[in-house]
Amino acid sequence: MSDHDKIYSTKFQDAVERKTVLMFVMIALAVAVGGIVEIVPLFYLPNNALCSSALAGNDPTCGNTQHIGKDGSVIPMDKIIWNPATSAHKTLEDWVPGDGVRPYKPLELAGRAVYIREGCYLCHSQNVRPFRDEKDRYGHYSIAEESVYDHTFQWGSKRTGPDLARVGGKYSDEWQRRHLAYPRAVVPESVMPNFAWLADMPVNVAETVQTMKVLTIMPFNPTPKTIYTDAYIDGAAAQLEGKTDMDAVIAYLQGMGNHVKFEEGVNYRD
Amino acid sequence: MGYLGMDVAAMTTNDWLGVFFVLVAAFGMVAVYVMVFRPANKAMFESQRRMALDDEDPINMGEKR
Amino acid sequence: MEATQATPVKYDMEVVRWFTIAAAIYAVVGTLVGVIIAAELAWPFLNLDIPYITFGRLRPLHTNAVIFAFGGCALMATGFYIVQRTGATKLWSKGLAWFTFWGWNLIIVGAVISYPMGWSQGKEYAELPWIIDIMVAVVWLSYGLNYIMTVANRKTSHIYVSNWFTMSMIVMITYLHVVNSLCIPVSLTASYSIFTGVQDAMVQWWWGHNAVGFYLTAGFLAMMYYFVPKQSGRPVFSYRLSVLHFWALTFGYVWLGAHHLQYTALPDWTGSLGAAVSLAMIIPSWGGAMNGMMTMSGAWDKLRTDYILRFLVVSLAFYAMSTFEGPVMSLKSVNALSHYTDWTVGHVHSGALGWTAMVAYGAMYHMVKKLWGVDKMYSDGLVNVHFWLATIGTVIYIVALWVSGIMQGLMWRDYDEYGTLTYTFVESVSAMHPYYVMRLVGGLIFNIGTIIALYNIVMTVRQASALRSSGAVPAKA
Repeated sequence: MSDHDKIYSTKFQDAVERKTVLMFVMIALAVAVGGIVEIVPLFYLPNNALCSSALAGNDPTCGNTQHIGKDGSVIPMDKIIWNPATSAHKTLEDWVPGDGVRPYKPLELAGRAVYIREGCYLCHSQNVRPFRDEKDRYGHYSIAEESVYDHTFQWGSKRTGPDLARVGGKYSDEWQRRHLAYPRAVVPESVMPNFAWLADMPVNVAETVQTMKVLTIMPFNPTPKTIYTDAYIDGAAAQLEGKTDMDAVIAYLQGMGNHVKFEEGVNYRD
Repeated sequence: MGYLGMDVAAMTTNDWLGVFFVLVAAFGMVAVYVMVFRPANKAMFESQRRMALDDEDPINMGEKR
Repeated sequence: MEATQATPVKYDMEVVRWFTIAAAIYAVVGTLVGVIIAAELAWPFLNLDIPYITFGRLRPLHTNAVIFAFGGCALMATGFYIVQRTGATKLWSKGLAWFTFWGWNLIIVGAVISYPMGWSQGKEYAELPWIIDIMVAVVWLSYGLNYIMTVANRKTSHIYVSNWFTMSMIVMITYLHVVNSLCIPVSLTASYSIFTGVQDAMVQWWWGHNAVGFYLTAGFLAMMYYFVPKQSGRPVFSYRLSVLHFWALTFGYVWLGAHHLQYTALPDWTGSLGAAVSLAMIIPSWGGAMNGMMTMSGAWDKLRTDYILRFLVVSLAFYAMSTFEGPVMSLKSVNALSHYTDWTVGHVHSGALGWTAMVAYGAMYHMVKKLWGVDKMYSDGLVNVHFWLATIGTVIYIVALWVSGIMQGLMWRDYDEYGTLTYTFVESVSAMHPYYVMRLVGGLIFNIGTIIALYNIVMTVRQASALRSSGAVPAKA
């Protein structure tokens, strides 16, 4: 076949197959597109956690994102993400559920580290989907802002056990303690491992304090970079003193999913 | 049919962006198909298909034999 | 001066031999850990209240051992083998190849220590501590550089299709690993991702699905495109189809990660886009599977006697099946049922056991014979036994998890006539028990197959060495 019979693209493919560098470059370009299209917008479009930058005060409706409370009114943005500047409760100690998503307290942060260490995310999801059955079983669907402080999201991909996104306050601390130690003593059919040894392990204070420092310098952290004040970090060690990994995990679980008040008075199915 | 329905009035910028990318990807694929399966291109594309079978020699690793 | 024009090329195959043996060993270990955690799910007392062996710590060990230890060694062995033989040249750097081998194994040792200790980043399939992540990057680049430079040094005019796939894997995995591992350390063993929430989820599944798409698919398609023609003695059915397969897969697979996040807080369009491109991927994937199958045309009779070819052909059948199942599961209406259930786990295993492991074993058996210069394996009968154990084990496994997954999904969403949820969550857990046992049986059967394979390969190597040292046969003609 003479050369002019080939359309240009065919010759190009032939050239690609002959030239290592050209092939390398073509591959490097082809595989980059999908990731760029899907990931980069998440850092710019309004319909995500970046919304919290609206906290600066310019755009209280945060693009077109609105979350409706039980009475049918729109939940204001500063009740979705806690903003010490505008909230009636100025410190993490004063914060109450309903004030909006807040940074983790030291003990919760330590518990989150245990949650990751023990691979809880491999069997428990943390993302309620917008379906009737999930609403009845777990509660209001999860919104992006609720994981805004989750460095390494823990949405999970498997529900060998139930979703935990809104487990906070669902059971008593004592129930959680017994269940974590010996799940089958509380739920006979459970397949969860016993985590009784957590009660014997003291919280890793130094690492938790270091974690708090690291979280204040996260480059893409959408919330104000001073999520913990220096004074608060200094006082963290005292809060962790004498606590065990068990206390930490329970604190973490009990704080999950109840930061925003979507609605009240629903008894969810186990 | 509801599943395939498209409420044009309610489409946001993001939705249009998604439509755009899907269409670009779809047309791009069609173009590649045409190029690859165009009979005139067959000889060129198939010229290398025996390459793996060209080398049937036993492996020489320089070992003593 | 080692070679003149007349003598055949002298290859650097010693490192390939070691990678091949390592892959056979890690396959046994990785699937054994899988069997253990499957048993822990069926009978939770088997966690034995020992922190180091609880399900949550061993599960990353299982996934990483099969993907990166077994899969990685198989990829590097076949990669280095194919690139030399199709380019009629030896490796660019023999020393660097050994660095890759020892570095990769050191990483595996690091993983074996890290996971039982609970040193995890909490990102699925990327749990390794940051310090090991850096080692992975360095060793991976050493592999990639050596590979691409060897391609550049080739004596043939064109780059063979297998090498395209491996190059795309090298480039994409580099992107993925670097971006997904970005984190700030808090100690030697712990670190936190620089991304949060939604962004982290998208980055993680961009990694997660493309570890499947490029590491476990593109890399293994490279094997398919070389070893199916070699083992059947037929040229690739259609090189045009492979051009299409390659570029569509290279461009398209990258987009699929978002389908893991349907109905989450990720913007809706992203998941839809992921699903749309997932559907489009059926065509190139099936084209590739057909291409492999049709390569056999005119040589189908060989399946009766050639057990290695059976591995390759059945792997293509599983490839076709799971590349159809995957796009279906990415559709929102199916995903609503299938997501978070065992169906996902079953789908992964139909790809991982049926496609990835089968094609790797076909390639490994083929290579063992060539690398040690023998005409047949120590026992062809054992290859056949392994083939049937692998096939039956895989089928039992995926059938068990199809049933349990769909059952779970249906139980979770079932309402009674009063409009309340019919089942508590834990009722769905207890209903899974028989299927978890069945899955364990399937996994165990597969695991026994890998042990037989290791035995067979080791005996073949021993036999070949014995023959060579005794000088009983004039080894290779």
